[in-house]
Amino acid sequence: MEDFEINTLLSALRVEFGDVTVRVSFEPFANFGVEALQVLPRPL
Amino acid sequence: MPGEEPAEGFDNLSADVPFDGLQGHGGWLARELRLLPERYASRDIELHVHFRGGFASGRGIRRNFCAVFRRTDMNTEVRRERWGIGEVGSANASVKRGVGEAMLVQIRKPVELPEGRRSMRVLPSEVRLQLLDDCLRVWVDAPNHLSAFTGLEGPRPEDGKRQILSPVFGQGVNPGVGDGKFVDEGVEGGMEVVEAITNDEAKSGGGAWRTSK
Repeated sequence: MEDFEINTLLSALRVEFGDVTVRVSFEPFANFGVEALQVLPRPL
Repeated sequence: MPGEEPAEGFDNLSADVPFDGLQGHGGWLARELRLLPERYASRDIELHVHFRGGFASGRGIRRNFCAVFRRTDMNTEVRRERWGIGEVGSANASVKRGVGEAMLVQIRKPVELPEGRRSMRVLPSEVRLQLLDDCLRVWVDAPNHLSAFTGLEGPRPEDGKRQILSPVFGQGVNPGVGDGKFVDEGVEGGMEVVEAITNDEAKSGGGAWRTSK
Protein backbone atom coordinates (compact mmCIF):
# COMPACT_ATOMS: atom_id res chain seq x y z
CA MET A 1 0.00 0.00 0.00
CA GLU A 2 1.30 3.39 -0.88
CA ASP A 3 0.67 6.51 1.05
CA PHE A 4 0.62 10.02 -0.14
CA GLU A 5 0.30 13.37 1.45
CA ILE A 6 -2.95 14.99 0.56
CA ASN A 7 -1.07 18.20 0.18
CA THR A 8 1.24 16.60 -2.33
CA LEU A 9 -1.67 15.50 -4.40
CA LEU A 10 -3.44 18.81 -4.17
CA SER A 11 -0.27 20.70 -4.94
CA ALA A 12 0.09 18.74 -8.14
CA LEU A 13 -3.31 19.94 -9.24
CA ARG A 14 -3.36 23.48 -10.54
CA VAL A 15 -6.16 25.59 -11.82
CA GLU A 16 -6.20 28.83 -13.69
CA PHE A 17 -8.69 30.76 -15.69
CA GLY A 18 -8.23 31.70 -19.28
CA ASP A 19 -10.45 33.96 -21.31
CA VAL A 20 -12.87 31.23 -22.15
CA THR A 21 -11.30 28.24 -20.52
CA VAL A 22 -10.74 26.76 -17.16
CA ARG A 23 -7.36 25.21 -17.30
CA VAL A 24 -6.39 22.41 -14.99
CA SER A 25 -3.00 20.84 -15.02
CA PHE A 26 -1.67 17.96 -13.06
CA GLU A 27 1.95 17.20 -12.48
CA PRO A 28 2.35 13.53 -11.74
CA PHE A 29 4.29 12.78 -8.60
CA ALA A 30 5.82 9.59 -7.37
CA ASN A 31 3.80 6.89 -9.05
CA PHE A 32 0.53 8.68 -8.88
CA GLY A 33 -1.17 9.44 -12.15
CA VAL A 34 -4.48 10.86 -13.22
CA GLU A 35 -6.62 9.47 -15.98
CA ALA A 36 -9.38 11.98 -16.47
CA LEU A 37 -10.60 15.29 -15.23
CA GLN A 38 -13.85 17.13 -15.04
CA VAL A 39 -14.24 20.70 -13.87
CA LEU A 40 -17.53 22.02 -12.64
CA PRO A 41 -18.32 25.40 -11.15
CA ARG A 42 -20.73 25.13 -8.29
CA PRO A 43 -22.72 28.05 -6.94
CA LEU A 44 -22.13 28.90 -3.30
CA MET B 1 -4.72 42.39 0.20
CA PRO B 2 -1.46 41.04 -1.16
CA GLY B 3 -3.08 38.38 -3.24
CA GLU B 4 -5.15 40.92 -5.11
CA GLU B 5 -2.16 42.42 -6.88
CA PRO B 6 -1.45 41.36 -10.41
CA ALA B 7 1.39 38.92 -10.58
CA GLU B 8 3.95 40.10 -13.05
CA GLY B 9 6.08 37.66 -14.93
CA PHE B 10 3.52 34.93 -14.84
CA ASP B 11 5.03 31.72 -15.97
CA ASN B 12 2.54 29.77 -17.97
CA LEU B 13 2.22 26.19 -16.96
CA SER B 14 1.07 24.94 -20.31
CA ALA B 15 -0.26 26.11 -23.60
CA ASP B 16 -3.78 27.30 -24.12
CA VAL B 17 -6.22 25.00 -25.74
CA PRO B 18 -8.69 26.65 -28.12
CA PHE B 19 -12.25 26.40 -27.03
CA ASP B 20 -13.93 24.99 -30.09
CA GLY B 21 -17.18 24.42 -28.29
CA LEU B 22 -18.04 28.09 -28.39
CA GLN B 23 -19.00 27.96 -32.00
CA GLY B 24 -22.66 27.61 -32.67
CA HIS B 25 -23.81 29.02 -29.39
CA GLY B 26 -24.38 32.56 -30.52
CA GLY B 27 -21.78 33.96 -28.22
CA TRP B 28 -23.80 33.59 -25.04
CA LEU B 29 -21.62 30.80 -23.84
CA ALA B 30 -18.50 32.83 -24.37
CA ARG B 31 -19.99 35.61 -22.30
CA GLU B 32 -21.00 33.16 -19.62
CA LEU B 33 -17.55 31.64 -19.49
CA ARG B 34 -15.92 35.02 -19.27
CA LEU B 35 -17.91 35.67 -16.14
CA LEU B 36 -16.60 32.62 -14.38
CA PRO B 37 -13.32 34.11 -13.14
CA GLU B 38 -15.11 37.09 -11.66
CA ARG B 39 -17.76 34.92 -10.13
CA TYR B 40 -15.06 32.80 -8.58
CA ALA B 41 -13.16 35.84 -7.37
CA SER B 42 -16.27 37.21 -5.73
CA ARG B 43 -16.98 33.88 -4.03
CA ASP B 44 -20.09 33.32 -6.06
CA ILE B 45 -18.93 29.91 -7.17
CA GLU B 46 -16.43 27.26 -6.23
CA LEU B 47 -14.67 24.94 -8.63
CA HIS B 48 -14.93 21.20 -8.36
CA VAL B 49 -12.18 19.30 -10.11
CA HIS B 50 -13.17 15.69 -10.42
CA PHE B 51 -10.46 13.30 -11.32
CA ARG B 52 -9.60 9.67 -11.31
CA GLY B 53 -6.19 8.66 -10.20
CA GLY B 54 -4.08 6.04 -8.62
CA PHE B 55 -0.63 4.68 -8.24
CA ALA B 56 1.06 3.01 -11.11
CA SER B 57 2.26 0.25 -8.87
CA GLY B 58 -0.93 0.01 -6.91
CA ARG B 59 -2.23 -3.04 -8.74
CA GLY B 60 -4.79 -1.00 -10.59
CA ILE B 61 -6.31 0.64 -7.55
CA ARG B 62 -8.02 3.78 -8.70
CA ARG B 63 -10.10 6.26 -6.88
CA ASN B 64 -12.40 9.01 -8.01
CA PHE B 65 -11.66 12.22 -6.21
CA CYS B 66 -13.05 15.69 -6.04
CA ALA B 67 -10.82 18.64 -5.28
CA VAL B 68 -12.83 21.68 -4.30
CA PHE B 69 -11.26 25.06 -4.93
CA ARG B 70 -12.77 27.97 -3.10
CA ARG B 71 -11.69 31.57 -2.96
CA THR B 72 -10.52 32.44 0.49
CA ASP B 73 -8.37 34.75 2.52
CA MET B 74 -4.70 34.18 3.05
CA ASN B 75 -4.98 33.37 6.73
CA THR B 76 -6.98 30.20 6.35
CA GLU B 77 -5.79 27.58 8.76
CA VAL B 78 -4.71 24.42 7.06
CA ARG B 79 -3.69 21.04 8.27
CA ARG B 80 -1.68 18.28 6.72
CA GLU B 81 -2.99 14.78 6.51
CA ARG B 82 -1.74 11.57 5.15
CA TRP B 83 -3.84 9.09 3.28
CA GLY B 84 -3.22 5.61 2.10
CA ILE B 85 -4.66 5.11 -1.31
CA GLY B 86 -6.44 2.05 -0.05
CA GLU B 87 -7.62 3.86 3.03
CA VAL B 88 -9.42 6.70 1.41
CA GLY B 89 -12.73 5.26 2.46
CA SER B 90 -11.73 5.12 6.07
CA ALA B 91 -10.55 8.69 5.90
CA ASN B 92 -13.85 9.67 4.49
CA ALA B 93 -15.43 10.60 7.79
CA SER B 94 -12.93 13.30 8.50
CA VAL B 95 -12.97 14.50 4.93
CA LYS B 96 -16.73 14.88 5.00
CA ARG B 97 -16.47 17.15 7.97
CA GLY B 98 -14.85 19.53 5.57
CA VAL B 99 -12.78 21.29 8.18
CA GLY B 100 -9.04 21.28 8.37
CA GLU B 101 -8.21 19.30 5.26
CA ALA B 102 -7.78 22.32 3.09
CA MET B 103 -4.54 23.78 1.88
CA LEU B 104 -3.83 27.15 0.42
CA VAL B 105 -3.19 27.44 -3.27
CA GLN B 106 -3.30 30.15 -5.85
CA ILE B 107 -5.61 30.33 -8.78
CA ARG B 108 -4.75 32.79 -11.48
CA LYS B 109 -7.02 34.70 -13.74
CA PRO B 110 -6.17 37.04 -16.58
CA VAL B 111 -6.67 40.74 -16.11
CA GLU B 112 -6.53 43.54 -18.62
CA LEU B 113 -4.11 46.31 -17.80
CA PRO B 114 -3.96 49.78 -19.33
CA GLU B 115 -2.57 50.11 -22.82
CA GLY B 116 -3.74 46.67 -23.74
CA ARG B 117 -1.33 44.87 -21.50
CA ARG B 118 -2.35 41.72 -19.74
CA SER B 119 -1.30 40.18 -16.50
CA MET B 120 -2.46 37.53 -14.12
CA ARG B 121 -4.27 38.18 -10.89
CA VAL B 122 -3.62 35.74 -8.08
CA LEU B 123 -6.64 34.53 -6.19
CA PRO B 124 -5.78 32.95 -2.84
CA SER B 125 -7.82 29.82 -2.58
CA GLU B 126 -8.22 26.81 -0.41
CA VAL B 127 -8.49 23.39 -1.88
CA ARG B 128 -9.75 20.32 -0.10
CA LEU B 129 -10.00 16.76 -1.21
CA GLN B 130 -12.95 14.49 -0.94
CA LEU B 131 -14.20 11.38 -2.58
CA LEU B 132 -16.18 11.96 -5.73
CA ASP B 133 -19.05 9.92 -4.38
CA ASP B 134 -19.36 12.23 -1.43
CA CYS B 135 -19.31 15.21 -3.71
CA LEU B 136 -22.02 13.89 -5.97
CA ARG B 137 -24.11 12.69 -3.07
CA VAL B 138 -24.80 16.24 -2.06
CA TRP B 139 -24.83 17.70 -5.53
CA VAL B 140 -27.22 15.87 -7.79
CA ASP B 141 -27.40 18.55 -10.44
CA ALA B 142 -23.68 18.91 -10.87
CA PRO B 143 -23.40 19.41 -14.64
CA ASN B 144 -25.57 22.47 -14.60
CA HIS B 145 -23.23 25.13 -15.86
CA LEU B 146 -19.98 24.16 -17.37
CA SER B 147 -18.02 21.02 -17.50
CA ALA B 148 -14.62 20.24 -18.76
CA PHE B 149 -12.99 17.00 -19.54
CA THR B 150 -9.49 16.20 -20.37
CA GLY B 151 -7.08 13.43 -20.50
CA LEU B 152 -3.80 13.81 -18.77
CA GLU B 153 -0.59 12.07 -19.30
CA GLY B 154 -0.65 8.84 -17.45
CA PRO B 155 2.06 6.41 -16.56
CA ARG B 156 4.32 5.35 -19.36
CA PRO B 157 3.07 2.34 -21.24
CA GLU B 158 5.37 -0.46 -22.23
CA ASP B 159 6.30 1.17 -25.51
CA GLY B 160 7.64 4.15 -23.63
CA LYS B 161 5.52 6.67 -25.48
CA ARG B 162 3.82 9.43 -23.60
CA GLN B 163 0.24 8.56 -22.85
CA ILE B 164 -1.85 11.58 -23.63
CA LEU B 165 -5.55 11.11 -23.34
CA SER B 166 -7.47 13.20 -25.78
CA PRO B 167 -10.00 15.74 -24.61
CA VAL B 168 -13.45 14.26 -24.64
CA PHE B 169 -16.60 16.15 -25.37
CA GLY B 170 -19.66 14.69 -23.70
CA GLN B 171 -20.82 12.17 -26.21
CA GLY B 172 -22.27 10.26 -23.35
CA VAL B 173 -21.25 8.38 -20.35
CA ASN B 174 -19.00 5.44 -20.52
CA PRO B 175 -19.62 3.56 -17.32
CA GLY B 176 -16.87 1.17 -18.16
CA VAL B 177 -14.16 3.69 -17.60
CA GLY B 178 -11.75 2.73 -14.94
CA ASP B 179 -10.81 -0.72 -16.07
CA GLY B 180 -7.57 0.43 -17.55
CA LYS B 181 -4.39 -0.55 -15.87
CA PHE B 182 -1.22 1.26 -15.27
CA VAL B 183 1.34 -0.55 -17.30
CA ASP B 184 4.52 0.91 -16.06
CA GLU B 185 5.58 2.59 -12.88
CA GLY B 186 7.34 5.43 -14.57
CA VAL B 187 5.40 8.64 -14.52
CA GLU B 188 6.98 11.55 -16.25
CA GLY B 189 6.35 14.94 -14.87
CA GLY B 190 4.46 17.18 -17.18
CA MET B 191 1.26 19.05 -17.54
CA GLU B 192 -1.57 18.93 -19.91
CA VAL B 193 -4.56 21.10 -20.33
CA VAL B 194 -8.20 20.92 -19.58
CA GLU B 195 -10.52 22.36 -22.13
CA ALA B 196 -13.86 23.72 -21.10
CA ILE B 197 -16.91 22.44 -22.86
CA THR B 198 -20.54 23.35 -22.61
CA ASN B 199 -23.16 21.59 -20.66
CA ASP B 200 -24.99 20.91 -23.88
CA GLU B 201 -21.98 19.20 -25.29
CA ALA B 202 -21.46 17.35 -22.10
CA LYS B 203 -25.08 16.39 -21.80
CA SER B 204 -25.40 13.15 -19.93
CA GLY B 205 -21.75 13.30 -19.13
CA GLY B 206 -22.04 14.81 -15.70
CA GLY B 207 -20.78 12.97 -12.73
CA ALA B 208 -19.22 10.22 -14.73
CA TRP B 209 -15.86 9.52 -16.19
CA ARG B 210 -14.95 9.11 -19.76
CA THR B 211 -11.53 8.69 -21.15
CA SER B 212 -10.11 8.00 -24.51
CA LYS B 213 -6.68 6.82 -25.53
